[in-house]
Amino acid sequence: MTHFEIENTQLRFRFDTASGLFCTGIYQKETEEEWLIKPCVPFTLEVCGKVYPADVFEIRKAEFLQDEKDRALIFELFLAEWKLRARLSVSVKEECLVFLLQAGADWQECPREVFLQIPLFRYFPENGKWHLSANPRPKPDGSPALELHEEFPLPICCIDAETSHGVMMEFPDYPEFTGTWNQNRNRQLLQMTDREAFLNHNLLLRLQNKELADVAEIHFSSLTEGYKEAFFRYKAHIRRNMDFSMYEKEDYMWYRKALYHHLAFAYSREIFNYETQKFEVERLLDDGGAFGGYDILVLWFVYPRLGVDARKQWDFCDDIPGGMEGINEICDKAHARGVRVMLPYNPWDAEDDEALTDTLEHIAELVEKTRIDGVWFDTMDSIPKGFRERIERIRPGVICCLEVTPKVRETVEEITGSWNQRFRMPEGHVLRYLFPEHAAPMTSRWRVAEKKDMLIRRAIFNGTGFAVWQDVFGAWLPFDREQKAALKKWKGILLSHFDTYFGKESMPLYPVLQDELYINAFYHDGGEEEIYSVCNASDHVVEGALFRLYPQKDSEEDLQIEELWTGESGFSIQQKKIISGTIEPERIYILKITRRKKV
Amino acid sequence: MDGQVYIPEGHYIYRAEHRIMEGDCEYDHGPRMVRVPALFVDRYPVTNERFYRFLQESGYWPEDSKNFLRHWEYGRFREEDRKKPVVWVSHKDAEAFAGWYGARLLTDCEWQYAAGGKEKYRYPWGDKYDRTKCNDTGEETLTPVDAYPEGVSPFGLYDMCGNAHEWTEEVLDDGMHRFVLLRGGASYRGAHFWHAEGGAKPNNWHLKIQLLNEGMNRCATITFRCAKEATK
Repeated sequence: MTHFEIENTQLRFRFDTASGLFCTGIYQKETEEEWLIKPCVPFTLEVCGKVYPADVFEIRKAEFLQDEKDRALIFELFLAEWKLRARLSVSVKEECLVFLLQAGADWQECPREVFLQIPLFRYFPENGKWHLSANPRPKPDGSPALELHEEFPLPICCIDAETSHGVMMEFPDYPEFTGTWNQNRNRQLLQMTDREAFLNHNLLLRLQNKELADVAEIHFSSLTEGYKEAFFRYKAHIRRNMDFSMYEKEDYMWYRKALYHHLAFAYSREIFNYETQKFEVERLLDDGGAFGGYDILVLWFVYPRLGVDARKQWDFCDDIPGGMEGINEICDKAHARGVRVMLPYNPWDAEDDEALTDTLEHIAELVEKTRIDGVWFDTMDSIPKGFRERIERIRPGVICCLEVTPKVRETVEEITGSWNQRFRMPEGHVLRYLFPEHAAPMTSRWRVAEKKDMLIRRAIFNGTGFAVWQDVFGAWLPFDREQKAALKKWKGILLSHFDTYFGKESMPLYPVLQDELYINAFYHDGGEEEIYSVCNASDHVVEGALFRLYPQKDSEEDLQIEELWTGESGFSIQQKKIISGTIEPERIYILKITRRKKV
Repeated sequence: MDGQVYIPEGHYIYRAEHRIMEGDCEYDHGPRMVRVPALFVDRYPVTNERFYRFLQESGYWPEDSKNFLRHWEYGRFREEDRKKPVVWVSHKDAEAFAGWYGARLLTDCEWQYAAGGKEKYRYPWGDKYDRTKCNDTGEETLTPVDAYPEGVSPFGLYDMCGNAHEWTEEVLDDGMHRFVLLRGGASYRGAHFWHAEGGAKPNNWHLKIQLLNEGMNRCATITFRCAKEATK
């Protein structure tokens, strides 16, 4: 027997061993489409400049294994010239076929450099559009139109833009190391940002081992609804291995709707009255009305003042106007207006010999003595173990907010908010869409004029709150009247569509029908409302068909479309699934689709 | 530790350096020509002893006394601090002291001239940094104002580098903030890059300190010295 097949409900892999090992097909069952346009070797190894395709390896074993739960097709291969062993297996999982390549070598004297190529990708249909993990959608200059996160690498997909049919490949990536010391080379494929580099990859292996080690593992699944399906499937995979109980605690619920933060620089007339020597919280909050109202104040009296003498941040809490009681007065006045207060913690302002436990006690004392609602962790993308629990024990509901986007998944699980301080357009941050419950208002302290406009557009485009920061440690960089009005309007929209913007499902880089467009999509959990924020990143008007709806309208549904930002009425739904309209350059549109069952 | 030094009128091209981390320092840092009037300048920063005498003579007590002379015990300096520069005094406290004696603080430009002389030395004693001529240990511990006679400036002023920052006269206001420029640096150095820059500093360097309430404005590392215009 030379013909071998293995399949799940979505895909069927075919191999032939008549003249060496070849992969002869990757068949998408639902769409009856073949994704390998011609047979090819499933891998090649290169040693000392000489290329050894899989078909020159001796096939020592080709067998089909099955137990009560799993099935696997396995090929054991051997290359006598270098005593190289390889095992290619395809295992059936419920949602995917796992293509696993393992290798080992019995070197005579010392290991040689071995390079791996997986040619399969080069034989996918030419009309298939590649969405790389590190560059799912390139901008015209080739750079990614999405800000990504190393801890959560997106899948790699090949999708037919016309039919939305495609193949999705997830690359498990457990280790954090990216260098050659990592035997599994998945990370290297995940990091590629250029299509040609990906298709022509040549991965240096660390192959000193006699036993078989994993060198590449790809989880294949099929797509019928394009990148939307891919993103949501990937998102589900990521989230099922995480614990979101922190986000579900009743005590922390207030934080999710605290959409607008404000950094109040204490040494500024924005809040301080030099004549009376008092903080004027009510005036500050009145002024905040022009922005739509602040929900959280971060009272900042530390940097750049710390360091003139040896007083620490904790001492300043006693020395600012009113001391601790003054802080509590601020809290009370803010609370009376429904506004919360956070104080910063500056990790760099510690004694040389200060133990973390001492720092924690300082923070705990601060929480204990005041009525603050949160601690803002300056410069930090994570919080030392035990901090949050300690704070929570003192007063449940006191939140921790990081200045910097969390770096590791454990932090995403534990810390329910951070500030997003990036400012590019149309790029959003993938974390916004993977973890919409993580509060991440947009801010960028140094941007002025049209860059502030862009920052506002970025918040609208990505469906986020905003951190108003006008006094940057003594540099006064106010928003103008139009910008304030825009933020006020945006907050109104965000609040009135909160359940859609912060529903379980939202995605960046929603598939578009015109290259100039970028769309982020947000879905109400109940399915009756969808919002598409649309950005035209080109310098010219885009007209006609803009994007397709998934799922398409069924005959029992009544679809309505409404533009929420500009109020323009020229948008329509055609052929039950295509959204059409006119999009001006560098403008944002918010398209709301309402689905209602016909009575 | 009394006594003043005469500084004749002069002109010089003013240029000040500072580190701006974030925020800014709304001030013309030069180069620009400045005129310094003839002055009688305190030979030393005001000591605890002198400040105690001032309190006795004037009956001064600030309305907001938070942190006022925090290092004193039972209303008096500790004996070992007698000759050390007085600290934990705000800019207002310093002005009150100066006003009582018909004097004022040195302006930022005057201070630089007084420290560097007509020679425009980089440090009071010359152009090369010398740790043995000032208190620059990195610690907050202060030394008596006459502890470094070799660190004296060309005009004969003591303790103009390191030990404790000195308030200058102008309270600057950029519309949103009030701040004062500190001169001379201090012995104390915060451990981190993000801390305000400490340590002994060159004559042409200043540090912007943003004012808040008096409890914050008083520091363990800021002192002052007074001057009178000679023509008055």
